[in-house]
Amino acid sequence: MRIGTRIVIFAAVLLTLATVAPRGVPVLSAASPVVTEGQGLLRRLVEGAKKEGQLDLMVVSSVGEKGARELTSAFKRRFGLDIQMNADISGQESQKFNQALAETKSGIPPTFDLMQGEPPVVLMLQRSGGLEPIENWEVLLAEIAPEGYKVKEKVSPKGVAGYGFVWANRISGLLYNPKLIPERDLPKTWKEMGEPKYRGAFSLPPWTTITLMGLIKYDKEAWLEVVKSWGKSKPQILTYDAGTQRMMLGDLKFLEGNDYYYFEQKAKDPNAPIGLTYFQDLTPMREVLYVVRKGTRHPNAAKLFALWASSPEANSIFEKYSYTQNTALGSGPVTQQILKRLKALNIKPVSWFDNPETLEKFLWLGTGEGQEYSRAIARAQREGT
Amino acid sequence: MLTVESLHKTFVTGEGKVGAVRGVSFEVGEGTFLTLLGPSGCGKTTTLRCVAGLEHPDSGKITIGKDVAYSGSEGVAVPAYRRGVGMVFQSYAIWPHMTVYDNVAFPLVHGGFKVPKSQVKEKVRKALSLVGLEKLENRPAPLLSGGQQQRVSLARALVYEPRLLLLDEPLSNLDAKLREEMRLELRELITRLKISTLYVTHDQEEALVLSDRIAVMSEGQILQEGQPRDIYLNPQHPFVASFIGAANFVDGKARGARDERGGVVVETALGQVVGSSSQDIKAGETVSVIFHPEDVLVRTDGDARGTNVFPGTVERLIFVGNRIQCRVRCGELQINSDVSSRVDVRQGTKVFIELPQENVRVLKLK
Amino acid sequence: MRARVADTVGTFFSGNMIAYVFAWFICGVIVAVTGLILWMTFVPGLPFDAGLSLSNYREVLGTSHLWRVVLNTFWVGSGTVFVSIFFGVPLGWLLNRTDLPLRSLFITMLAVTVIMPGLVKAMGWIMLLSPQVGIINKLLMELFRLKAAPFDINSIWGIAFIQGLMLTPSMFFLISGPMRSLDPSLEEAAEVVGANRWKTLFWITSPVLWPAILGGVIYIFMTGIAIFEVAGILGGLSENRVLATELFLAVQPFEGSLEIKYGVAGVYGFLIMLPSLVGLFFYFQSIKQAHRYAVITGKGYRPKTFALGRVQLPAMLFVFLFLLLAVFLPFLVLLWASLLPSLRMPSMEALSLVSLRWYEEIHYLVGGMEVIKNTLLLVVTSSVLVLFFSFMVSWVVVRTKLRTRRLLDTIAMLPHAIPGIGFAFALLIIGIMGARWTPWLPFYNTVWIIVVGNILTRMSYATRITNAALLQIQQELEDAALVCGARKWVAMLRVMGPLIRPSLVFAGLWTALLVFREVSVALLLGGPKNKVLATQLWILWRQGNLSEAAALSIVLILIMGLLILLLQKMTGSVGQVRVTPQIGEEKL
Repeated sequence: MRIGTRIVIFAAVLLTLATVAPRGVPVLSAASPVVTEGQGLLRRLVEGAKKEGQLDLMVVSSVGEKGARELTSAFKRRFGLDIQMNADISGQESQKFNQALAETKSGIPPTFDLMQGEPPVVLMLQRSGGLEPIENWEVLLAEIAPEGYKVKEKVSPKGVAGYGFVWANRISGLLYNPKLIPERDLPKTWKEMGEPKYRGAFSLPPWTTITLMGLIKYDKEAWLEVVKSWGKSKPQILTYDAGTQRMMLGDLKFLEGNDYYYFEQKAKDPNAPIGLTYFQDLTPMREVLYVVRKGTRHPNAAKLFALWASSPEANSIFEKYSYTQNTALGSGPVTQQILKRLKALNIKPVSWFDNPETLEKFLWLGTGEGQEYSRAIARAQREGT
Repeated sequence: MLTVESLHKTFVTGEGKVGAVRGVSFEVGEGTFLTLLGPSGCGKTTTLRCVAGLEHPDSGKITIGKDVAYSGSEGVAVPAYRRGVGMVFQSYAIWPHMTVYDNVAFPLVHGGFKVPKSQVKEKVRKALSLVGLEKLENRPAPLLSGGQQQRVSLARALVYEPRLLLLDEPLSNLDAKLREEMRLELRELITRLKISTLYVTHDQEEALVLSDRIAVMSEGQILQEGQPRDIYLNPQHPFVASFIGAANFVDGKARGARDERGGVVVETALGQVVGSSSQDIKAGETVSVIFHPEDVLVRTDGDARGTNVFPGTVERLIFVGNRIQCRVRCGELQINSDVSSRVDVRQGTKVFIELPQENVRVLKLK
Repeated sequence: MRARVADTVGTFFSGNMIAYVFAWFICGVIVAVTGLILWMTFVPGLPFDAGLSLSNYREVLGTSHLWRVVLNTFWVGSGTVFVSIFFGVPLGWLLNRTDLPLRSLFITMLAVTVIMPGLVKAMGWIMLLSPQVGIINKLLMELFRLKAAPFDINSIWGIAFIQGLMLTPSMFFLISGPMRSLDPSLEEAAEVVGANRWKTLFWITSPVLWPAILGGVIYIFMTGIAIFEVAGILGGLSENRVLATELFLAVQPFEGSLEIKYGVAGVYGFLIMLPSLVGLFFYFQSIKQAHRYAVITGKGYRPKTFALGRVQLPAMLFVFLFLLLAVFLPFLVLLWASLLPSLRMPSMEALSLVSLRWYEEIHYLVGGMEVIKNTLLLVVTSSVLVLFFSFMVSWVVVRTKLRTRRLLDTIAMLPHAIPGIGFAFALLIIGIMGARWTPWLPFYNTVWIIVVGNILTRMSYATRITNAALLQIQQELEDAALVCGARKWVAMLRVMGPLIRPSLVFAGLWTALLVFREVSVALLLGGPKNKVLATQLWILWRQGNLSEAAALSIVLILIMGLLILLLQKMTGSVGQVRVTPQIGEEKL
């Protein structure tokens, strides 16, 4: 190398070091290797986490106790931490986010350092100032989960960039009991589900988060009519789990639900009477995001985990226990099977974060007019009027 | 009307088997009033309940009128609701959710003594007037006083004119004055109606006042049965003597031969006492000399002559209005005496007590 | 002077004063929390947001289907009462007043049924009586060649049926006391005047017991209209909605807007509470009546046992029928589910999949030592404190002449009229406020906040038992101790204590069982550090891991059953609120 180039490189390194040095990264000892900015930030986080010594976090209930333990152990191992981790797997995301809202408003330290939920609740808390952003998250992500870094706009989409980090995607599919109804007889579109012949054959969930995603594709009035047609046939209202149980028992023929339930049931019992397909007109997908709470007592550990959750390592554990896919990463076994199916059926899932227009629609739901519309959808889903 | 033969009943309690009734036999003649008298735990109530059919005896025979109500050997046990007796409970057992009228009418309407509807009112009114409660016909039961409840209970027992009336200490929950009044009323009523009655009580005075005959019970057995006067004056058993009336007991040894008047001579700590006895007493036998306080004469005249006269000092005096209860110390013994209130005695007075031979009973110690 | 001070101090610490203080304390807390719930109904958003308004009320009362929901609630409540009377009253009589064999065992089993969570029972019943796949339906259809399933569990009557079965033990234990303290001479008198056993039962026993039964009826009605779990499971979230489901839905992000409408939930809570308050009024009237009728002679009479004779066999069958419906069938369903990887209808194919896999993973299902520690702490502390406060309240209500004692009794019963989840919300707010203003006090996110929630909701039942227990003890027994120079609290401890011990044990055990399986409060107030067994079970269930949930349930049921049996052996009896024997004449 020519001397000039060497000098330039050396100066660049010095310059970088100068910017990094005030943050206390011990770089100038003779034997220490050269560290990148990312590594420096990471080390600071790890040191901070060690000092904090604890992390109270939410973990999705479907991983179960065993899964939660494996997850936390893997996390600790990865960063050489020996901290106490209290994982809450009791679910109830919306309830907890509302509680977080109340905590933020009253200015008390939050119950959880780290929470996870779907976009609606995350955005609600963000708007109220209850979330702590991760500074330089891109750099850190590159350190912690390089594969995630490659798809960073999917890992932390616009709208929640820096605040929320995707660890899973939930895609809505059609779960059905092949013993009771062959695939060809299933409704092909959301609209068809409202036809009289399906009366009593399916259940709907009590929430409207998925239903509202119909707005991504359809216009307001038309969609409202579609939802009314479902409600008119007076379906049973059951959560996805309860509905899946009843369907496998033979009480229902099919239901709209999270596609990964198929893999979960099949893994428990290869002969489980359950099949999976997708609606042809619209396949909603919700990102599930980890967020750090503002005012948390253990910010470093929380930030570490949030970023790590979007790594393939974390994803493999999530998939092992709860079969939840991370289609952004696209690496896990369940994810790959799902991606294969989607490809075969030529289906492209859509999400609120796809583009500015969809994000705009989602934010509209939060306005007064939007809330009116939500209530109308809720009534339509519940009563058909 | 009622014959009870060799009735036996044991209870199994936490401490094991308890023999409540051990071979009890007695008879209640037509129109007679018999009282089972004894302390608590003697088995009198159990016997009564066996007669009523509320307890199931182990063995024996119970005949009411001409019907065998219970026979252990023949395996007959008529249930309570078919025995056709009337019963007054100690707690009266008035049904709180009914009025006085409904309580008394129950046997005629829903019980085993049904009469045509038209006759019910008349019979109920008659029964209520017997006990003096005609005016309280429509009063709800919980609002009655203790005395009133007792009358209702009696009216209910009488309304169907039973052949046998059973009463389980019906007066013991009343206050003293009421008790005395009711006692007389009860006796009068029963005599008038000429109903055969079996009565149970621990109050000896009550038994003496009410009964035609008394059976004194202790520990599951009848010790003595007879007319009140006989039982009082001629107790055949120390226990009977102690239970009826307040008696003085002095133990001693019999001398054997009777004296010229047929009396039994007994050597006691008091001295030599001569008494009468219907029992066959042998020489040297340990016996009990029993005499009532009212039979003890207290003499202040210093005359020590005569049979059964012993010196003593007045130890204690209790003035009870018409009498004075004296406790006289004779040597080591304390003798109770009831004297007229006009007798001039004071604590510490030296006196002589005299026990008229005919009032002194000598009983074998059992 | 010194004597006077000592006197005042002595009076202050005298037994009655202590009772007043604690009784009023707990009632004060109840009133305060209820007040908070009421206040929340007037607040449109979170309690910290400004402004009171009637918008919550408008929202609830403005819904068109409210009338139908109220009607449904009424039918569910009535149906529940009917079923619980149908089983509870005969059981109460059979197991307390007759010579039915194995009574003690049956009573234990009744107590054990409480451990099974309602949702588990509901799931079992779906497998039996669902119109599509119910086993019983299928059997009947084959036997009688029917075209359609005769029973549909997804109906108002289905809900009432299951709830009725669930609440039968409560009815049983509520009327056992009065049944046992019925003066036997009342029945004997009827026998003597010629009424046979059945006439006596109809004309004498039943009318005298009626006020007590009525009290039980009202209590069960109040409970029945506040239960959500059964109605929720039976798919009744669309058609057969009741007020409790509305409350539940108000707490879901159902309306699109994501802020949970605590206020709306509160309004529904109050709608549930209104008929209960009316019921409460009648309840107090009827127990006043019951007291007049309670002819407790206190003379050591033991209740006369009714000889069943020929009726013994049908009676046994009846008891078995109830146990079958309420205990065995759900238990079998649970057992079946726990042995399979996932729930399916019985078939040869299913049999091949049977394994003990979930039992081997029990330590995971439990969730660790922390959970067990929390649960123990929760159950023991709650039971002890509930017993303590109930005793204090009952003391004031029964023993003193305080003019406000009726009010105290009413306040103690008040929480029963409000669904537990209402209290949970109020406590959440209190917890948050506490975390802000008294952060040094451990409350929010600890076991203690759950303890408080449970104490508030369990007081109503416990005070029923302690009231009855204290009523049965003669004042004189205690007075005698006082005259002997013993202080009031010594008299309470040494004289009263042993006499009411059976009742206290029973009240404590019942409370412990209910606290143990209570989910909604523990869930709402739960965080990362105060997990308990009930929530673990619920999590498994909610995740659709019915088999794992079933395995955990079975283990818990067996443990609790054993504990109850043990306790029964140690203290003599569990279900029997005894008539305390008086010192007096023993009748022979």
